[in-house]
Amino acid sequence: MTPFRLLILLLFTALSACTSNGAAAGAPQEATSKTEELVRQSSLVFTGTVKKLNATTVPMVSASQSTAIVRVEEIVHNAGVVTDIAGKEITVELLAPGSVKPGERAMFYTNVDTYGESLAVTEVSHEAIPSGGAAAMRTRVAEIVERVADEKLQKRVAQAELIVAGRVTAARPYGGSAQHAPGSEHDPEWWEANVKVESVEKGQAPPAEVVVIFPHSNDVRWFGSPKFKEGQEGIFLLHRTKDEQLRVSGFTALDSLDYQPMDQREHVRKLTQKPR
Amino acid sequence: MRSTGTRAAWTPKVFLAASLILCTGCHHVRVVNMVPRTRSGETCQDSEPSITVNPENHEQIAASAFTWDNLCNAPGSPGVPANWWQLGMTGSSAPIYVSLDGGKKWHLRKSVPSTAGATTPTGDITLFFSRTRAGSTNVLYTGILHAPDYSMNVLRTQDFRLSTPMTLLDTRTNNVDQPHTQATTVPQGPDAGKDRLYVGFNNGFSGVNPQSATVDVALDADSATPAFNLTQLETRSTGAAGQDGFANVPAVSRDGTVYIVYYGWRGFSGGGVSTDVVVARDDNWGSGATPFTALVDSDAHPGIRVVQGVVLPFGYVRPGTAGRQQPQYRRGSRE
Repeated sequence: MTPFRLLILLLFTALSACTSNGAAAGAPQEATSKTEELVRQSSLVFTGTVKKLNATTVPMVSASQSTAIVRVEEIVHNAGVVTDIAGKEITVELLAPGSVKPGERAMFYTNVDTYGESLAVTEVSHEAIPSGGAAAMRTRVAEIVERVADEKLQKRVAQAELIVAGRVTAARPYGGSAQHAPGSEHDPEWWEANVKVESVEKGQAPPAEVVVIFPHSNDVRWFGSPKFKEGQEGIFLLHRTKDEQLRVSGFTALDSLDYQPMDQREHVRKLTQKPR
Repeated sequence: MRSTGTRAAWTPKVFLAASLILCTGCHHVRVVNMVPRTRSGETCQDSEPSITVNPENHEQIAASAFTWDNLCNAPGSPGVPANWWQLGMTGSSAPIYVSLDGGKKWHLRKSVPSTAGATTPTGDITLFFSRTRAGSTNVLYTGILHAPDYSMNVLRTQDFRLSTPMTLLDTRTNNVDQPHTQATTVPQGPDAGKDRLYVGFNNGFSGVNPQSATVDVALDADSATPAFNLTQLETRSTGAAGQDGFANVPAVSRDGTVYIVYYGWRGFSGGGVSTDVVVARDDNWGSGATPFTALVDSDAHPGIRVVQGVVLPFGYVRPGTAGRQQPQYRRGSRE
């Protein structure tokens, strides 16, 4: 073998090794990516055994070729849509008739369709239970859920004009002592909080203190907004708001994400530095 | 006739108990927990309920509230404080309550247009069956404040039993509130079979429209693209109040008589709203050139003031008592 041929052979061998390593590394990544996509589309993921086809546990959902009764074994992901359904038989509205068989065990990605004496869920997908079972899958899903949460917070961080860490020194009704003229039962009942600034994480804050306007109302439209109290410490994601209909002008914190506990400061700081 | 006026008097906690009282010949009272077993862990603010019975089949009942498509609590841990993702809608359709056995058992089916991630499933929601048959049920109309924008949407479904988004018929925006929905079907004459739909609502609170008592009317609501006409009910001054009250409640008879009762606000001082209770009527389905003017009061304005000058506490009251560390609040009258 000439030195040139030897060189070509060595190069080819090295290239093949790289390619095969890459493929080996790519397979789980693809699987994770697919799992992530399915988890993002599903509010309830569980392992279960198909008990019966063409059947239903929910009278409101007619039995058909697209329905199957499945006994739930373990919950892998629950976005707050059910309480304890492990061990219960529920109805799965299948993506494709005949895609499961009686006795088959699988991982079901679903969304709740009907609440009743029993539950009916709509299938997003199903697949064979991976090695490691539901426990291993739960860890992967938890990571995905955390990533989704971070994306939401990241979006809110990007939208905020000013982010400060600080402490509420006072909270009182917004707009002085005058009574409101009539408005709506959905009136936000604005309050304002003085926040003593400890650090500025984004934007330019006034030197020592910033005023944050927030809805004090627990009406259905506002009860999810943060309510601030004197002495409260944390991270405040502030958005400049001017809304004549809502009768407010200034920095507001309306989304439940607009307040983060102080122990999240480093995390928020990292998110402010992330590329959008 | 259904009384929608009681809806606001219910508290969220009462609805969490979720009791429906059925009186059969008044021999006995049955109390039913409407929240199905599979949602027994929910801790949402499931408030301001509304209910309607199919006039052609009393076994079919639909009910609504501010009902999320999730349980508003941590998995397996009812009662823990909600966090960000639990407050948001999981999907883009909010549920209504459905019973097919006269209210003994209830299911939740997702048919109300909402928005994934919205912190409320819907704002104010009321629903009503017409007498128009659609298969084995009747057409259901619904008025909502759509989340998260709180525009008023008027909706229709041919089958309230399905988890299929209702059809949007009409949208009103700009500080609108409390759609009160009523419907019936013309029994005879040239318009026989047409659905008449009336949605009383507050059209422009907080200074957008000083005479905000309004009704939205469709004279053929079950047609493919029904036309809606707004009638401003209020013609009197609302003075310093700058708007009318919120409950504008219609009641419709199958002979074409339509009543609407509303709170005509006349002024505001001291945390109270001076209010007239006004009854307006139309004798031909609200279809003429000057609808809802059949009743004229002594001041020559349409609408009889059956109560005048009553003061309703409303809004945000902050006594100026010196020395108090915390202001006091009186929750506004929800009428």
